[in-house]
This record gives sequence, structure tokens and C-alpha cells, in this order.
Amino acid sequence: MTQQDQIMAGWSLSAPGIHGGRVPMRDWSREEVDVCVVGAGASGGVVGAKLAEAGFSVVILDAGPHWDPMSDFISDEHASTKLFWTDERITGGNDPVELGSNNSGRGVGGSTVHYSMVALRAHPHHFRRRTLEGSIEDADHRDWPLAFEDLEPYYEEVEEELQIAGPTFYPWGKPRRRRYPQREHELNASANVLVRGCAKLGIPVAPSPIATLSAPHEDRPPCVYRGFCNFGCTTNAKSSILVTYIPRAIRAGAEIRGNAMVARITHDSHGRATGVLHFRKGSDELFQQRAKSVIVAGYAIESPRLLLNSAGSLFPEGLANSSGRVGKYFMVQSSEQVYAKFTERINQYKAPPPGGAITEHFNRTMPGVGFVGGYTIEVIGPHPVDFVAKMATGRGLWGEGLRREMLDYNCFSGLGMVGAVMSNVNNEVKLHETEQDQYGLPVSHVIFSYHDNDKRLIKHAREKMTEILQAAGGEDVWSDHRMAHLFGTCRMGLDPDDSVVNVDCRAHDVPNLFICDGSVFPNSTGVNPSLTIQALAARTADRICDMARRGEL
Amino acid sequence: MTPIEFLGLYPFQWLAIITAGTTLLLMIDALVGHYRRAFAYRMQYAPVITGAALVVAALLAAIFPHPPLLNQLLSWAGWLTAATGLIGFGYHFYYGIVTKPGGLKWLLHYLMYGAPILAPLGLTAAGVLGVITARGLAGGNAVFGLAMPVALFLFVTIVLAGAIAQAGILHYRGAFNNPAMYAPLTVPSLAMIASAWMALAPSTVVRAAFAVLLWMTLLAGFIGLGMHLRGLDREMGGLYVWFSNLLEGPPQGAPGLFIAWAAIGLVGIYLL
Ligand SMILES: Cc1cc2nc3c(=O)[nH]c(=O)nc-3n(C[C@H](O)[C@H](O)[C@H](O)COP(=O)(O)OP(=O)(O)OC[C@H]3O[C@@H](n4cnc5c(N)ncnc54)[C@H](O)[C@@H]3O)c2cc1C
Repeated sequence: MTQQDQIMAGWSLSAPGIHGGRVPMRDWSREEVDVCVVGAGASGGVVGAKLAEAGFSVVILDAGPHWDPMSDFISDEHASTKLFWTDERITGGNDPVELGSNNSGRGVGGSTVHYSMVALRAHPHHFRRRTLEGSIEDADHRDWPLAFEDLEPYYEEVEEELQIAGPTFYPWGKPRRRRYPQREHELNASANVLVRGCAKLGIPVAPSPIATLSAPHEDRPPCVYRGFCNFGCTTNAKSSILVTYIPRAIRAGAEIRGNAMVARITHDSHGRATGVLHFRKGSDELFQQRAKSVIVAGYAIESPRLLLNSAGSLFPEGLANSSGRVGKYFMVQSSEQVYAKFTERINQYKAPPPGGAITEHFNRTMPGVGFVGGYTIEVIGPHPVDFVAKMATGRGLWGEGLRREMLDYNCFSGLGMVGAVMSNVNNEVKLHETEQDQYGLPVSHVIFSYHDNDKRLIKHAREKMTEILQAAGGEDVWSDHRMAHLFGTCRMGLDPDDSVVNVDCRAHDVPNLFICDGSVFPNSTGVNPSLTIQALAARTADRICDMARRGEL
Repeated sequence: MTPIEFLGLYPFQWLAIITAGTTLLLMIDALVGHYRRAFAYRMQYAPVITGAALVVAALLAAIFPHPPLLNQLLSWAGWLTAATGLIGFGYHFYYGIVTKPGGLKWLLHYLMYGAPILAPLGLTAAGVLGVITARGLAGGNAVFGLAMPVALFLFVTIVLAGAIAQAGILHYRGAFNNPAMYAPLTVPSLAMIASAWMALAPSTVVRAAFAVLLWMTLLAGFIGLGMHLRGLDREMGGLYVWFSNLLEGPPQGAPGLFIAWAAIGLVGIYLL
């Protein structure tokens, strides 16, 4: 038996499953599959499962492990860092992005294993920002090549699979055609603060749609409000990709290969992708997975890095990069947080972090505020280790003062924004010239600076959040700056010279290469991105099926 | 007292037993719900105490139907419980909705997650049933100015409407995750209409249909009890942590109310 055989026999046929057992599944390692998906996260899970169900042979590779919620997820902040992508990355720019826990996951389920589950649809106007907002100096935001209506059926499809628990009437965005599959969750104390404050100020506020069960669904119980959602849900109430689309993919005959870090996408002399080369845990050998089509779903830093690392004689600047746009227009969302102290106990960590309430009242371009774009205000509920760090960075507390304030941890309540950010060609992900990771691959160099518009938007949001907390009776208000969510490094567009993929997420340069994760967003929206990413992945799967039927792949 | 017996008991003895049963269900429901909120208000003990009094009075009346003193006791306990239920409704409305963040603007939310708004009125209904029963046991043919069967049919119409509404709200909250959760909205609704019909314009055809619908409602109640137990098992940890899930899962006794309300309709038919 070669080392490859040993490794494949031990790991490919099965992955760790419930209660330390193993989930039997197909082994495609020695065959050429129809589709190889890189990344088993929000997008990879959806597109992989749908294609497997449509009859394609599918293998989904993920750099991290195939988690078993019961035994792998630990209700402990510190131990849960294993869920984050913490490989070395270099940051730069005027506003360097803090990478890791707050923006990228690793392992089957991707970032959805530890995300906060806010499940919002983008608004129709988010897809037409350039048209509506016009050109803005130093910004290069674009309309999407598709409209909200193109994604609407896919939003519905994904919401159904994830059993989103949302309000009966949601006041913002295009009116829904169908009710949310499950009912809203009960408000937690932090959400009470938001509702109270907004009610005082006359700001509309509504129950928040979130991706965790409020009623039993199939073999998954409803949420028990432990509040450890950001460290992996041990009860399976959270509708992460790991417990929704991944089991579907396995049932349909897909292989989910954990601990498989893809180093390069290979291509033939005609410029078509032929598969991927990947490392397996415990070996420094590169294994080949042959595939008729490759779908990249590694999120907005790893996807461009993989394309750039896959440069070859036909593609000297990186795969699918004839436009030079791979890695460009990197965006985040601003997510300033504001906290206040209350006289009563809040226990902000209890229940899912979104708490159950939200306001999208400011999620539109508002007249007379001096900036374009908008933001949502959401409830947050950091656990103590996270919170103590915020107190140090946001309030400058340290030593005895910090210790004393932390004694009141249970009396703090906070709000966070999710704000649209302008796209700019100077914000980018590129390969670092000298640094390499544990596989010997060049690491990403992530450069980011805010646009003036972004700064004004953040200031506005900080003021509004402060007003709300004060109206609700909060005192000692302070704020902490954060960024969340990643976009834009393989943007979609109609013009092959100005974008990486077309409206179907198909690379302009390589006909059998697709990129369908958060990196294809041509502009950032004012809402949390996962639902849009998943809807886009669901649409891409349907488009691939159409293309295959017509023999166009 | 009406001389016809069913299984050796007179109709009003049956009503006394049903009074005891429904009160016990509602009382336990209040106990569980108020325990869950850690008896934050002292008033939360009230339904447990008055409910217990009504259960005892109703059982005594069922066993010893003749002594006037016991009849009187049942009547008093009934009025007391009915009053407690009304006060409870005020509390549930005020503290469970009005004073919550967002207040009445968030009515739908608090109907689902606040104190169950109609539960105290269920207790009021049980109290009124005790009063009607006491009257019947004492040989009265009419109550509140209505002939006994008419009074019972009107009663059944009202309580079924309440039970359907409360089940509707909570099953909506559960997103009708099992199709059986639509059951309380179907057959009992028809039984409710038939009951009103019987009260206002009785006929033999309606009566036959009503009887069938009542038996079906009764059966649905028993199935509901089983389904609620299953619902408890579908909560996190299932029956293994039955005590926590008793507090979080579907109210275990609630479907029993449909059994009780249907049985009262059957007693009413018996009395015709
Ligand atoms: C703490 C946190 C909270 C969040 N909260 C919300 C929220 O409330 N609502 C919301 O909408 N969004 C939220 N998000 C964002 C959301 O999770 C992401 O936008 C979304 O998951 C991105 O989807 P994706 O498919 O592009 O990438 P991911 O879900 O991150 O999946 C990428 C996967 O690809 C794998 N991968 C990458 N490169 C390689 C490679 N070379 N080889 C093999 N595998 C690779 C990674 O291991 C990872 O598993 C949150 C994110 C975080 C981190």
C-alpha cells in the first residue's frame, strides 16, 4: 500500500460522525469526478449538495476537519479558536483588517459553523448601487449583473432548507412572497434593550430572521438558548452548512474530504481546469483530484489566493486573471459596536447573539447625511474573553480598572452595525513576496483602507446606536471598532476586462471553472452576506445543470 | 337530578369529575408556567391555590352528590376560581404584553412568547363549570336563566373557541412543524359551530353530527396528549431531561382540555 492508499483508505471512505462514529460515504479519490468543489462552507456546501442531487459525481474538499458537533465543539471561547482560519496572513493599508475569528472559518461547514446566523436578504437597491448612487471619487462600486428578482427564488429555497426563523411581517426590503419557514425567536434581554430604545426614539424595529430552529425540524431539536453559537452549536439547532447541506450532499453520493488543503488548480494546454492538487493532513505529499469542472468556494481571501497560486505558463498572472482583477476590490463590512451599562442584569451572552431583534431603518441612502449606502443595527452578545478584549481596545482599560469593570460583565448590553463599504481598486488580496505558510505556499497579503464615505457612515451608525442605548436607559456608553465579512476579490460582471466571473459565476477565462463564494460580490450590501452567498450558490448550481444539459460545460 | 346514569354515575357527577379534571390540568399548567418564571409575582400562586380548592370541592361533589353543603362548597370554589382566572387574564395581558418592550405593537410576538393569554380564562371557564355543576347537582334545570343543555352547549362553544385560539397561537409559534398540529383547528372548529347551532336551533340532524364531532374531538384530544409527549421528546435531550423539557416543550396537559370540553358537550346531549 502506498502512502496515498493508506491515507485514502483511512480517511476518504468515512469522516468522523455523530458520537465519534464514522459517516460512510463515497470515495472519489481515484476517479475523475464531474465536479470538485474547493471549500465546504456557505457556498461550497450548497452548490456541492445541489449538484450531487442533480446526479453529478461531486467531491468537496475542505482544508479543515469534518466536525462532529457533539465531540468537537466545546463550549469554551478559547478552545474554539480551532474553528477559525488562523494560518498566517499579512495585513496592511490604512485600516488593516484583523483576520481570524471574526471573518473566516475552517473546516466542513466553513464560517457558518461559528457565524452569528443573521439571515437577511439583500435589498433590490443593493444590486444597483452604481446606478442609484452614481460615480464617487476613489470608489469603484458596480451594479450586480443580476437583479434581486434573479435571486429571489433562491433566497426562498435556501431559507426553506435552513428553516430560517423570522417574523410574520418583516418591514424592510421587497415584501416577501412566502412566510419564513419558522417563527421568530423570543427576544433576549439585549434585544429588549434595542426594542425599548427604538420604541422611545420612534425607530422601527422588528424580530430578526435567524438561521437557528425555533421548532423541531426533522431530527434536529429547537434552540435551547445556551448562547454558544459562535463556538459551534453542540445541539444541531443551528442551521450551519455542516448539519444542513452537507448531510444532503453525502446522501446524494458526494464525498466530503476534510483536512484537504487545496494548493493549486491544475489546467491543460487548452486552458481548461483539470482538477486540483491538495495536501492531506499527516502528509506533505501533493495529491491529485481529477475533475471535469472545478468550483472555488474558499471565501474572499483564500479563493483569490488559490487562483493566484495556480498561475502557469498559460496564465502567468494567475488562473482566470487576464483582467488583473483577481484579488482586487477587496471589501469588508464595517461593524462598529457600541456598549452601555445597565442597572439590571442583561446576561448578554444568553441566546443566539442576534438576540431576536434588528432594525434596518438606516439601510438605505438617506438624504442629507453626507454619505451613500446604509447599515443595519443588530444585537450582539460577546462572551467574556471577547468582551474583555473589547474593554481593553475600545475603552483603554487595563489592570485593576479592567478587572473591576469586568465584574459588571452581566450588566452590559451592546449593539453592532453591519455597514456597506465602498469598493476600491487599491484594497486587495495579493500573494506575499516572501512569507509562506506551513504548506510552503505564499501567504495572502491583505490590504485595506476605508473610504471617507465609509467613515462617515460608521460615525452616523455609532451616533444612532449610542442614542438607542441611552434611550433604553444605558449609561457609560463606549464603542469598539470592528470589521466583519469579506467580499469582492473575484468580482462578477459582464465585462471580461473588468471582472473575473460572469453572471453565472463562471470564470471569463476558464470555461469549466466557477467561483461562487463571497468573493464575487461587485459591491457590498448593508446586510450580513451569508444568505446572499448561499442563494448565489444555489443559483449557480442550477445554471451549471442547465449548461451541462445543453452540453456547454 | 336527571335519573339517567352512564357507567353508574349521573350526568352531573360526570360534570363534577370533568370540572376536577380540567381544573387539575389548568392548575398544573399554571404551576409549570409560573415555576418557569420562578414565581416572580406572589399572585402567581393564586391559580394553584384556588385551583386546588376547586379540584377538592369538585371531587367531593362527585363522590357525595347529595349533601347541599358540598354543593354550596363547589359553587363557592367555582366562583373563586373564575374570579382568579379573570384577574390572571388581567395580569397576563398587562405584564405579558402591555409592559413588555414594544408593548402592544409587538402583540403577535407576546401572544407567542408572553404569558399564554387565554390560559387564565380557561381557569375561569373551569370555575363557571363548577358553578353550573353545583346547580345541576342541587336539582336545578336551568342556570344563568338558560335551560341546562343550552347553557352547556353555549359553554362548550365558548371554551372550544378559546382552546382553538390558544392552540392556534402556540402551534403557529411551532410553525406547524408536524401536520397533526393543524388538528385542533379542524374538527374542534366544526364541533364548536355545531355546539352553537345546538344551543340556538337544535335539531336531530345537527345533534347527530354534533355527537360525532364531539367524539372525534375527544379522540383528537387523546392523540394530542400522545403527540405532545412526542413533542417533548423532540426537544433537546428529549425525555432523558424530561423535567427541563416539561418547562420548554409543548404543554403536556393542554390537549386534555379538548377531551374535557368535548365530554361536556356529550353530557349536554345526554341531558336533552
Ligand atoms: C464570527 C462570524 C460571524 C458571522 N455572522 C454572520 C451572520 O450573522 N450572518 C451572515 O449572513 N454572515 C455572517 N458571517 C459571514 C458568513 O459566515 C460568511 O460570509 C460566509 O460563511 C462565507 O461563505 P463562503 O462560502 O464564501 O466561505 P466560508 O463559509 O468561510 O467557507 C470557506 C471554506 O473554504 C475552505 N477553504 C478555503 N481555502 C481552501 C483551500 N485552499 N483548500 C481547501 N479548503 C479551503 C475553508 O476551510 C472554509 O471551510 C459571519 C462570519 C463570522 C466569521
